[in-house]
Amino acid sequence: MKVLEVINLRKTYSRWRHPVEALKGVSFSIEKGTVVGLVGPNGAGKSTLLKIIVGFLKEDKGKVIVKSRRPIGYVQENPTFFDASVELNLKYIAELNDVSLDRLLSLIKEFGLGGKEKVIPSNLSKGQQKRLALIRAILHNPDFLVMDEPFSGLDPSMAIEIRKIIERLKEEKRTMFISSHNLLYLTPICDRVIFMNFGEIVGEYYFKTSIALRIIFQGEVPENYKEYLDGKGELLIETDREEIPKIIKDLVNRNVSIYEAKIEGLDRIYERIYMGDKDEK
Amino acid sequence: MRESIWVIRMKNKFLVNIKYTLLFQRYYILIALILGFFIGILYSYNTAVSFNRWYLYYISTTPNIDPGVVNNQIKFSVYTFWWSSIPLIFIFIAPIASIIASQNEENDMNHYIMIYYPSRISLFISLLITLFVMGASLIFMEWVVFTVVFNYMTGFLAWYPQVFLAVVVVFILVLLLSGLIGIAIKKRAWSVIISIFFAIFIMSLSSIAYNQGINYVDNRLEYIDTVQEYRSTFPLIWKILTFLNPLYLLHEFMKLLLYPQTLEKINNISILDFNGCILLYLLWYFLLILLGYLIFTYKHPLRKVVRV
Repeated sequence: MKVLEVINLRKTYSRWRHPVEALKGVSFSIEKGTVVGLVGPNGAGKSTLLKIIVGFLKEDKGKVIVKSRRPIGYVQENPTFFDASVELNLKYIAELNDVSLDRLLSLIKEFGLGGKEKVIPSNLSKGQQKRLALIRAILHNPDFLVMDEPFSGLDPSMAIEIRKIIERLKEEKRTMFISSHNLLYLTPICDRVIFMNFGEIVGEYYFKTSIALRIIFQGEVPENYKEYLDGKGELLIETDREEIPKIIKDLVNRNVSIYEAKIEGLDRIYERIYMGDKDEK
Repeated sequence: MRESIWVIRMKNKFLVNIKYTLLFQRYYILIALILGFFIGILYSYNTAVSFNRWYLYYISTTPNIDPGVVNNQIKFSVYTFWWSSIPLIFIFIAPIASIIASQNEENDMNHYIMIYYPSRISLFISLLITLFVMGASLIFMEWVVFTVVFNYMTGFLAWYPQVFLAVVVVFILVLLLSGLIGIAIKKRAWSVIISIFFAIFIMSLSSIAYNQGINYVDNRLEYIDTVQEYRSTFPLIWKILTFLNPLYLLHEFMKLLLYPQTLEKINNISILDFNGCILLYLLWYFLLILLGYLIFTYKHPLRKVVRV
């Protein structure tokens, strides 16, 4: 089942004066239970897309369909809160969603904010604010979570902590759509990554079915592998994860000496998508 | 953490919104009350001193004290108190009303709440109720302060609840006007600056327009035979400019509620009759609420989730 369907979404800022096309007909969908990353340089249209999905912004054209049992859970890039205590901020959301006080208390404890109930959120550290935003987003046990840069502005230990929380949410089979610049953290979390640039989707990467396998070898390349040559002595093969042992076995059987075989990280894929043109020039 | 707010937990989301909006703005309401208290004390004291001065002069120069004359002077004190203190309070409270309306716009919390409860009317009504509670409690505070101080200093009771009601309804109207600025302008700082400027501007404009109109009528007094003629002689353009400031409705309501409308006391004649005041008041109310809601709706798109 599709939890999210985005159809030909368009958005232009300041339409009358110096128009900026933030989204130029974006279409994609997200299946239930999958975690999808959204990657792209600043100004690619990621935040605009997320804000339209949750209803913070209105689309000029196109359609967004969200199918869910409960309202979307949303974590903002720079979380904002009411000018009231942590406790009141959370109780408001809890009461709107008929969430029990016990769940609220256990989440506060679980996310390490015990003892901070009376503090005004603006007086919390950035990491604590992110954790509070996460509590607020999952308080009502949403099926679908949208997160805008959940790791930004955090020190490494705090970012790891947030990543672990997101991994735990993944284990709970929640559908998530996460925008982030942190490719290292997205890799173990996401099933799929959407790449955006200039308001358009410029690429997609499925971790299960489109693994980029880089093989450093010595010897003659068999004929049917020549199309995968990526520089001298290197093959770059896009394949299914389950095909990897077969490929390696096949190459070894054809007397190719393999020195190294590695799955390319998201950073290399990013490099190929966004900086490939520059290299060619 | 188990405390009163949770005890009065509500199932109805509309009431939840109202409860938390009021809770989040409680400090602003408190500031308004404190302000009302001090301005009330200041102006009540001033009004009572003036009354005592007049009373001393009156009893020392008149052998037979006429209760009607004293009563008229008390009415004049009530009129002076409200008409001198309310514009000042308005200038202080206008930015607070703007802050209340704009702060959840600036930090996107109105949008955030609508993820969970996609009802624009609910949030809008919560805001109106907050402004209403702030306005009504402030005016109530002023009324109590004035009644107590005036009674303590003069020995007379200036008890005019109908005037209090008129002040409340008109004051809420001007708070709505400031709230509208807050809804329209996302940046809190800008909304504060603009609402102060706006308050001063409309106060000055209406005051000039009113005086111009009165001067015009004064010059034509010899041709006026009835109160109705007096009112219709007041040029329409000056009437419109006067009532661009809804606070001037208070001026008119007080004259209508406190004084008989006769040509013998020309200064006490209101430039609109009672029905006219009510109609204009309702028109202002309707326009402000409609415009506020339209702006609010425009700024808050809804993302409805298909329930599965």
